[in-house]
Amino acid sequence: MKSVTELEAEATAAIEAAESLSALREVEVRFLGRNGSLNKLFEQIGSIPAEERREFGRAVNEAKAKLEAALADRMSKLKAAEERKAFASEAVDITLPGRRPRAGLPHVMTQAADRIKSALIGLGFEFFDGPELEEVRFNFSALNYPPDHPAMDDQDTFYIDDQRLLRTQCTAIQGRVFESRKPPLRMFTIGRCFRNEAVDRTHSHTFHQVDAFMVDEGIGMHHLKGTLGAFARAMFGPEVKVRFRPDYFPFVEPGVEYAITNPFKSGSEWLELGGAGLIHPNILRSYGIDTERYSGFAFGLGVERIAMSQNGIDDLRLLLENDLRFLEQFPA
Amino acid sequence: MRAPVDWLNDYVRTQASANEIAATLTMLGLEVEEIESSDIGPVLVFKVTPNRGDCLSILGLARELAAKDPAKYAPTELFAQAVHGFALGDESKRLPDTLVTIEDLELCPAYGARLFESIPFKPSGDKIRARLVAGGMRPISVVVDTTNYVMIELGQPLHAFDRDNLTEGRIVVRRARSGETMRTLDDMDRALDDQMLVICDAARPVAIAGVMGGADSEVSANTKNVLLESAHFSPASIRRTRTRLGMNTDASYRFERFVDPQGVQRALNRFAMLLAEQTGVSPVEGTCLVSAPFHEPRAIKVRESRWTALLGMSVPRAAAGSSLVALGFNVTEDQDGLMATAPSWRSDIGFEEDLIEEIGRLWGYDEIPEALPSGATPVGGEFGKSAFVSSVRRAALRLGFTEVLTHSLRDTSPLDLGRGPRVRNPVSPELAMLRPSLLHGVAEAAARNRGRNLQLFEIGRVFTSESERTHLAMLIAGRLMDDHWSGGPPPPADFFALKGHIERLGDLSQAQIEFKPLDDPRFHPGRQAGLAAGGQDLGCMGQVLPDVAEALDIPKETFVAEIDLDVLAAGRTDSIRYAPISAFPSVRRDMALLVPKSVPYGAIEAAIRNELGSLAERIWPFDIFRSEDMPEDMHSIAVAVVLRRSDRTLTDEEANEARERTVSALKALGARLR
Repeated sequence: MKSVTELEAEATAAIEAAESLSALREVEVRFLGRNGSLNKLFEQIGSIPAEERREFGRAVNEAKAKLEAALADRMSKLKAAEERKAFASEAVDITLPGRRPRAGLPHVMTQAADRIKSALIGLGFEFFDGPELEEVRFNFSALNYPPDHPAMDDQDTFYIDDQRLLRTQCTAIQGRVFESRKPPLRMFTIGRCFRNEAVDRTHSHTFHQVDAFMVDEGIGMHHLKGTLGAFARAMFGPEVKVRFRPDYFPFVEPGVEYAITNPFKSGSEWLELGGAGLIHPNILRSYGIDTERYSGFAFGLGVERIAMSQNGIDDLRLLLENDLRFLEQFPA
Repeated sequence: MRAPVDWLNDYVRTQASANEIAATLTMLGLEVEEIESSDIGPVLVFKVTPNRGDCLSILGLARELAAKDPAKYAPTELFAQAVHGFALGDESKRLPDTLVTIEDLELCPAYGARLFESIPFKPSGDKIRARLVAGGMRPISVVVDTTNYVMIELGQPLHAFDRDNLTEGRIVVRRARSGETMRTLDDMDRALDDQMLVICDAARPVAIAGVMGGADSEVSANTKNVLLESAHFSPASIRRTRTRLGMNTDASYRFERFVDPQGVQRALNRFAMLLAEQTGVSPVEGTCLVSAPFHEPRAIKVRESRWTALLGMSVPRAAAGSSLVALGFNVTEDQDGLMATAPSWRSDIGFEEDLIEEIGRLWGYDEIPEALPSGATPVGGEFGKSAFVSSVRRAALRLGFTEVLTHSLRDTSPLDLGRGPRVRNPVSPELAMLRPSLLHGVAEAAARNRGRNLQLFEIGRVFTSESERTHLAMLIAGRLMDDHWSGGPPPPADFFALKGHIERLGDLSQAQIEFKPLDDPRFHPGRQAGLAAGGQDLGCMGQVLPDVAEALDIPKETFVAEIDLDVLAAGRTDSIRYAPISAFPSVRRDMALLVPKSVPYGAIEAAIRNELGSLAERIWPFDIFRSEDMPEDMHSIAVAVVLRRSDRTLTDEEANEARERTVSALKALGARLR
């Protein structure tokens, strides 16, 4: 019959020697299980003299507690080791490529249009949509183009018939707005326009324009300059300044070409963006708007010009070719 | 317009460099696009806006410079002479009125003629030749060159006729008669009509008024006696005529942009002066000048308060007045501003606002401060249909589709069902039609990116002869995912991949999209479906017919869809209402059914839904297959149903009863449990 001390030493050695969780479980069963050595030892308590029983019981319990602690300690060590092994075998090569979900990309022109849209909406302008296949009158006579006037030479027009054409300018929405709405107005549109031009790096028969206008009491050129300034700074950064130079468009008086200080490193000092001016009083009057009370401004710009200047694109034709190697360079 | 700086110096004396002059003119609204060099120094190349015909001349440009800064650009003696019409001292002398007859004073309000006799045939003087070359014209002879010289200098086109070739040596101005023809200087035979104004002699047309002279009366090496024409024509008439004839000349360019009607005599005199300098030939005394009464422009009031408000800057009244005077206006001051009468060469001035532009332009737009509008601020934003279209674009992007933008003008395509409207004057026949569908465009984009796994969409306008609508087109081809090292090839694009996208798009656009049988010749007969929403046709989807795919150079298995967003917008539900989440558990029951192949799955699902009503929370097929032990025309469809009550827990017995009920209801379709 082994003594408690001998048994404890034997069990401690076995625990330390167990090299796996299953071996440890065997040790546990052998020494601490219901039929384990320790219980068997305890069962002999009847054969021990009564005055020694108390001391014997205490010794067995103490040994049991020690062995349980040693077992738990060994268990956690072995678990950690096995986990480490499992993790090591499950390790991935982080340099392998990931499984990329498909992501839809908005077209670079839509991205430019969206930037313009949010800048103008931020300035209180409301989006208004007009048709691309437009009535001749909205494109010309409603915009104060006199009949048979050379101003139309700048707008080489695709006609469908005598009444309909492909709009040459988004300003064509003005008449449509004035027919249904009353001032105060701040409206804009973004859309496709067409002019009968040959295609090269900077020209196309199809292009996109933004046209915005405002009518309210006491509107002047300073409001146009201020609004364009705020718009341009929203688009191009806080340092940008606006310059006007006189120009002619039948639908504005005075009319200007506006440029901004070139926000890009390369190129000329001024970046011309488009035409603007105070809405011609003939237009306001023809829609029954009292020009002594109301005045307004209008401005336009090309979406292509924005997309190209902001992204350094040097050939307009790329925009509608839809080569993914081009489009994927602008992930939004 | 090309203006040699040397020539400008005849009219305004200046020390300014070509760059400075160009900057000044540009900021006055006369955009200098380029400065070229020539034998006589720098030449400014201008864009003159169509309202400023008066600036298509050295005199006009000089006037602008002098008005902007008379200290820097001092008007010369020649400028003063021009202002006084280069009077030769014989203004009162008249040639007989019979020399010129005007039959249409509306189209030709003024016609002046002078006669020159025994002119030697020789080249023009060196200075004139050099300036013409710098101005972009080819020197020919002293008579022709001098007419061109005066045109560039004063803006008044002149025409010299060989008077000996004019029947009866006289001029009749009238409309052409239908069917009349004439050979022009460029040796082209021109068919005339009664909308065109012609210059005739006693017998026949000898020039198309304001556009080009005739070959028969052209001055030549043999010309001795010249009748010189200086006239004013109706700008719109000149434009109509030259457009109809497909011509564009230096003369017509100026006439359609308005030539000073009071400048007719001045140009005749200047020509006489220059011809005498070069040849010693003086004109026959007197001018024949026939004209309609000239309507003196009315004085326009311009209020100081108004120009301050519209320009957003204050321009002192005295400065405003002197600017206008320098531009040739007749100006008087009145109580609250100025009264100004436009000079005869400024047809573009009609309202107070026109004068305000002149005042602002001369003062300088750089002085305008920036200010934001105050007052009632409307709510900005995007609403209604355009907001919906934007949300569909976002939905397509969320589904992983990449946006393309393609041309609206194109040729017909096998992917079109009908034809779009045609442009009357296309750039080329391949760009003559407005697209009736977006499918061709997305297919072209697919062809351009062949070899890639594609998932493309476009949103844009399509056209029929009656309407313009906004469509969405989608295209998938190749594999649904890009290849990855971790497994075999990903599944290829198929009908159900595209259908799933459309179903999901319906969810994202809050619209219920239905799929119906379709018979569309563009698609694989067994792989196509019509789309509908709210009972209205919405569009279609299908596999592009393999022949068509081959012709368009796109993958054989290409799936496309086209959806009318105007219909989808109308079919959507406006607001989303919260539905309480049931607190009670659901029960799933599966049925492995043997179903005749002729029965579409949709009929089975409809029958189940019909039998179970609101008890069936979700119904879906989870396995479809066929094996040899099944009758020839049958296959197996395993359907799962999730049952749930919103008011209490469903018992097993109830679920089993529902399943049995469903199975017996499906017998009507020829389906039974396997």
